Amino acid sequence: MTMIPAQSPAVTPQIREQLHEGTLDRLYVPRSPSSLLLKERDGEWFQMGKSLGKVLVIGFSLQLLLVIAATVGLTFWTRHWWPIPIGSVVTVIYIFALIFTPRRVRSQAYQLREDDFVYRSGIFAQSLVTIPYGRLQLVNIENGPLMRKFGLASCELVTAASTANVSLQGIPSAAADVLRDLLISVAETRRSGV
Amino acid sequence: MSGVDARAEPSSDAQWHRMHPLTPLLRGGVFVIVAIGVIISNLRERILFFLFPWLLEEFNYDAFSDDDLLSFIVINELYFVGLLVLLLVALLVVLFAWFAWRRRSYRITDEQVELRQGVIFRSQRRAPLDRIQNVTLVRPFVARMFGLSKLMIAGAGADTTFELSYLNTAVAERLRAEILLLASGQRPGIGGVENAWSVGAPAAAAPSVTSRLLENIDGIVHGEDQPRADDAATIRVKASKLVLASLLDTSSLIIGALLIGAVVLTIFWPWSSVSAFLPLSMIIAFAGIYWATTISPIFKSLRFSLTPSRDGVQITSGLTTTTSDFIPPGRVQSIELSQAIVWRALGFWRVKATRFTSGDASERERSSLLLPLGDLDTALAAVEMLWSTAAGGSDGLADDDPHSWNSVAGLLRGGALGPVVGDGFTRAPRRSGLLSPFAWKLSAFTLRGNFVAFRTGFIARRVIVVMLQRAQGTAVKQGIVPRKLRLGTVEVSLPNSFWSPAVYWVDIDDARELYHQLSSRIKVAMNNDRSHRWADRRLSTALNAGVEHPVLNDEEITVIGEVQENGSINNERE
Repeated sequence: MTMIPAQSPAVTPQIREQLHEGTLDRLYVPRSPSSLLLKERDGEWFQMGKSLGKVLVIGFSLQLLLVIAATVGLTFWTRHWWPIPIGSVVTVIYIFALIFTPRRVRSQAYQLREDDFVYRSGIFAQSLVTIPYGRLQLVNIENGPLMRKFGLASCELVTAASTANVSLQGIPSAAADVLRDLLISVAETRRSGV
Repeated sequence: MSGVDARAEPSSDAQWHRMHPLTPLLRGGVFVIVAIGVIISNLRERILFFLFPWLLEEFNYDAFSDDDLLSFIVINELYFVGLLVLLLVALLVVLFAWFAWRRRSYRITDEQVELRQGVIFRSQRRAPLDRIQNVTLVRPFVARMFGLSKLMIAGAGADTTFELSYLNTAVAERLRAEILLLASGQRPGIGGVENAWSVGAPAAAAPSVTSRLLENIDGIVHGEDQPRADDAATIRVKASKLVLASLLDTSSLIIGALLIGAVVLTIFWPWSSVSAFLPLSMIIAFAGIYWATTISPIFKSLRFSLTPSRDGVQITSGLTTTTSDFIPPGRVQSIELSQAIVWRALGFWRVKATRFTSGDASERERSSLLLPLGDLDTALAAVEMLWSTAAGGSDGLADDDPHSWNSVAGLLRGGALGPVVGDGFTRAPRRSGLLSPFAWKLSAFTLRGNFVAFRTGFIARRVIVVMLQRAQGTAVKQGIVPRKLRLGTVEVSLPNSFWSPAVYWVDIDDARELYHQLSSRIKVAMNNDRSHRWADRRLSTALNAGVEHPVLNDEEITVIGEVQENGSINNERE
């Protein structure tokens, strides 16, 4: 058993407060003992914004409405049956995505450990990613109109390896700014050659 | 444009230098190809029927379209105007090329390599010496006849490669030696570089063009650009073996089979139908792919040789276009041994040493190749050569040190020899065979010092050793089915690659432990790493001593060749 690394000293009580402000407070923990994402190994997890689930559900619903409208429209326009099975399959996929969105959002969380950033995600296909702070190339914050309305921003951590990039789908805008400043200042002290 | 002097010997003197005066002619080759392309696309029917007159009847083709360029000239009797336009275009091209040459210049300072160019759109490119991944000397066939070469300088990141073309080969070789020397962390005195590859006295008296041309044609035949230094240590690849192995590579076999299938299809094709060109175009397509994936790499790898040097391993290869490349030891991310399924019977291995290269997939492929093929002993010898140049001769570590060459060789050999008891690898459990019926037998990993080794594959057996000081991150993954089977997959991310080295579906407890080990070892390896300035002996020992080595203070570091405060140059080596 390896020891659990401590949290980064850069996370002061004030920063900690800011990062937790307006985020979900219950982490999705899979029950299976053979799952990767076990709680007993854990330190402190920071979660996505409270309204991220809502934003994603609204987004998916709008897309689903479009799909249904397109299916109906095409069926009547072409006077043919083929849009119906295609539209149904897409609808079923969307409904599944909608059902699992709240749980999926609760499964995404990150840790700020002493030397590295850890991100976990997924309910079915789970993954746990570690990025040493020194490897960060840039931190990218984006927010679309819908996200902005709910005070959220997505935050992407970019490294030199495209396979080691982490994207936080939606955290509160204030937390995103705090996180970016924190990551950049920590990374600054640990930069190294590629 | 003061300070630009084409005649001076280019070196790291922080002055701007021009390319060789013949550059426009060789670079203009592109224009010629474009012109030929335009002509062919305009006249393809004429050319086709000129070459195959009988097709004319077969196709019952009685009229050429009037809108192609030649018809237009013939019909309107514009021969004189046509010729004039042609001359004018040629003149413009030459003029433009001359201006372009005037505007292209490079310089090398202590910090970076710079190239400025452009007539209408001016650009200035820089490659910081710290980030240079690769300096390749390329000698295309035509340029070789004039004794010219180009230097491709690759930085880290997408679209960071630029070329200094064309330079006198002697100058280019010298320049490369200097760039590598500067990049290695040594500071040669301004202009004064002693290096095994700096050519004695280039161009004492300028020989006439004809004599030089003849001399260079001679050079093509006898391969004068083959490595000179330390011939006994050179590893060469036999042409016959290379051809055999390339033809037996899995992808070559598949595409070859498709090609043969297309030929057979063509023979039995009912020619009366409208789509008569379908099987023919299939032949052309598959032949093209076969050329690109099998034949062309053979030409590029012929006369392949590896030579040790202070700046890393020198790789020279190519039949018509020769490339000569150094693999700087401090830039290697991972070492990979792979074996196509048919090669197993012959005992062939291919060795790759991946680096952070910019450029497309084929360039990445080329630049990472350390040895196109060899038996296991040759493969390991090639890696050892890379290793010993990294450590500056012998790494001076005890055989049981996890960072010694002996240890790495053990990893590679243990991985290559496959699952045997005592190879030190942790294997995937039998139940992972439900997910990968064949590959599970090979799927295994092991950790040693700053290295992690993965063994994977079935169709292509693969052993990869990753240098953790280059890793960008690590991840552990698991889908639904592996969760039911208590399995997990662990990845290590490397810069600028599309896939991550990984071990698939090992026992979940092993996967967790490996992941946690990797997280902490990457951090340690990273903090102790000084290898991007690989030439400083004490620092490169620090790289190899890895974990236990105390972090050096800046005051302790004496850079060889550094200009000291009293003005003298420190040339002593410890």
